[in-house]
Amino acid sequence: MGNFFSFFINSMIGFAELMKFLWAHSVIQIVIIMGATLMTVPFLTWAERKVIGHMQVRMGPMRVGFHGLLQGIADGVKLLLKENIIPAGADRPIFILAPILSLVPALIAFSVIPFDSWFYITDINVAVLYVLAIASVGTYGIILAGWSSNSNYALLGALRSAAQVISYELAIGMALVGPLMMAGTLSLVGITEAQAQGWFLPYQLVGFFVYFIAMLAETNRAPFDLPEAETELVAGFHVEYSGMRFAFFFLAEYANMMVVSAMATVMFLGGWNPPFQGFEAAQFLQKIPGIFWFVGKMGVILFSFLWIRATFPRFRYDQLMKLGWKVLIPLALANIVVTGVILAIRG
Amino acid sequence: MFSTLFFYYLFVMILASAAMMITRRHMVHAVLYMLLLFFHIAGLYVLLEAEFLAAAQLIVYAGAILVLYLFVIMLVNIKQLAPLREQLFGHLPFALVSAGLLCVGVVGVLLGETALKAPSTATAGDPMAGLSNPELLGKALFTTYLFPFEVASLILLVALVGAVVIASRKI
Repeated sequence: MGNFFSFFINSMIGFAELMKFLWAHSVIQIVIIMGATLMTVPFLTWAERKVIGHMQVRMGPMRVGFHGLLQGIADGVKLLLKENIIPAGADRPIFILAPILSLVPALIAFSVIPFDSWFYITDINVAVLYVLAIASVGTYGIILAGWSSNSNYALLGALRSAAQVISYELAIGMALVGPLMMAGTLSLVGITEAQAQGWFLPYQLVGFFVYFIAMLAETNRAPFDLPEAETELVAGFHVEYSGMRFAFFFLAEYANMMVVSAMATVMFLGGWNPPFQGFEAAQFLQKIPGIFWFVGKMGVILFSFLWIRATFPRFRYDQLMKLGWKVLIPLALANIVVTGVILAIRG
Repeated sequence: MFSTLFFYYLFVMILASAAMMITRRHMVHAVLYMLLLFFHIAGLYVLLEAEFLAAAQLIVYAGAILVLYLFVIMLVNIKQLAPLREQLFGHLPFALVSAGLLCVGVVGVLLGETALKAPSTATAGDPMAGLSNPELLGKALFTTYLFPFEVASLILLVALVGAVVIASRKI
C-alpha cells in the first residue's frame, strides 16, 4: 500500500516536472496558441457568413446551435468525413504536399506574434522579416496546388496568385518600413514597447492605408480574390481538392487573415497597448489586460475583412496590377522618404 | 552540442537536396528540392548568428526568385526540352573544368585561414558590441562599406532599367 502511495506521489511530482519543462521550453504556449488559432477558424467562418448575411438582409446560418453558432464545426466534421479524391492526371506527391505547404507557414508565423508583454512564444531580432519570409513561402502551396491538379482552371488561378502575391508582398514590406524606422528595431516586442506612449497609426496613416489594401490582396480576399474568382475560374487553385485537403486551404486562408491582422495590430495599432495613453480621463483603460486589447484590435480588422467582402465588387486583373505597382508601391516609397526626413529633423 | 548536431543535419540535408535537385528529370520537382536547399542554407546562416541574412535569403530567394522560376516552368512544355537535355552532355568537359576551378578556389580559401577572417565589427570595447545583428549590419553597410554598397545598388538599378527597356521594346 505504501509502495502504491509513493508511486502515486512520485508520478504527480514527475507530471509537475514535465509541465515545468514544457512551459520553460514554450511547448505549452505553442499548444495554447495553435489550439486557439485552429479553434477560432470555425467561428470566423460562421461570423463571415453571419455578417455578410445580415448586410444583405438575410439571416445567414441558423440551424446548427444557437443562431447557427456551431455551423463552422459541423462543416469541419463534414470535410473530415468526406472522401479525398486525387485526380487521375495529378502529380500525386505534390498534390498531397501543396495543402500542407499552404497551412504550415500560416501557423508558424504565430510563433513571433506578441499577444501581451508576457504572452508570446519567442522574440527574435528579425521578427518582422521572419513573418514576411514565412508569408512568402505560403505562396508555394497555392502555386503547387494549381499546377499539380492538372486542370486549366486551377493553373490559371495559381498563376494569377503568384503574380498577385509577388506584387503585393513588395507593397506590404515597404508599408512596414515606416513603423520600423520609428521603432528602430525589427523585434515585434520592441515595436510594441515603442508604442507605449502612443500608437504609430496617426504618424503612419499612409503606411497603414497601403498595408491595409495590400494585406487584402496578400491573403487573396475580396475584392482581390482573383485566384479563386468563382465566376471565371470555378474556384481557382483548389478546384480539384476535396475533403480534408480542401479544409487545409480553408484553414490556411483564415489563419493568414489572422496573421496579417495581428501584424497590423502590432505595427500600427499599438499591439497590447490601450488607446489614448496620453489622456488622464482614459487612464482606466490601462486596467484592462493587454491581451484583450490585442485580440479586440485583431477582431476589428478581421471584421473589416468581412465588411469589405460584402461591400466591394471584385477587381479586374489589370486594375489589380495597376493599383499595386502604380499606386501602392510609390505611396509606400513616399511614406518612407517623408518618415525618414521627419525622423532626421527631429534627431 | 546542439549547434554541432544541427550543423551536421544541415550539412547532410544541403548536400542531399542539392544532389536531388540536379538529378530530377521533372523541373517542378527540382525547384522544390531547391526550396528545401534554400531553407537549409538559411539555417546555416542562423547558426552563424547572421539572422538578417537568413531572413533575406528566404524572402529574396525562396519567396521571390523561386516563385518566378515556377511561374516560368509551368508555362513551358516540358516535352519540348528533351532534345535540349541530350545536347547537355556535349558541354560536359567545360562543366568539369569550371567545377574543378571552383573547387580549387574554395579549397584555397579554406587553406588560407586568414582569408576567412573577415574584418570583425564587434570586438571587445567596440561601441558596436551589444547591438543586434540587423543593427550591426546596417551600421557596417552605411559607414565602413558605404562605397561598395552604393556601387551594388547602382548596378542593380542599371539592371532594372535594362529590364524595363528590353520589355518595352517587345510590346
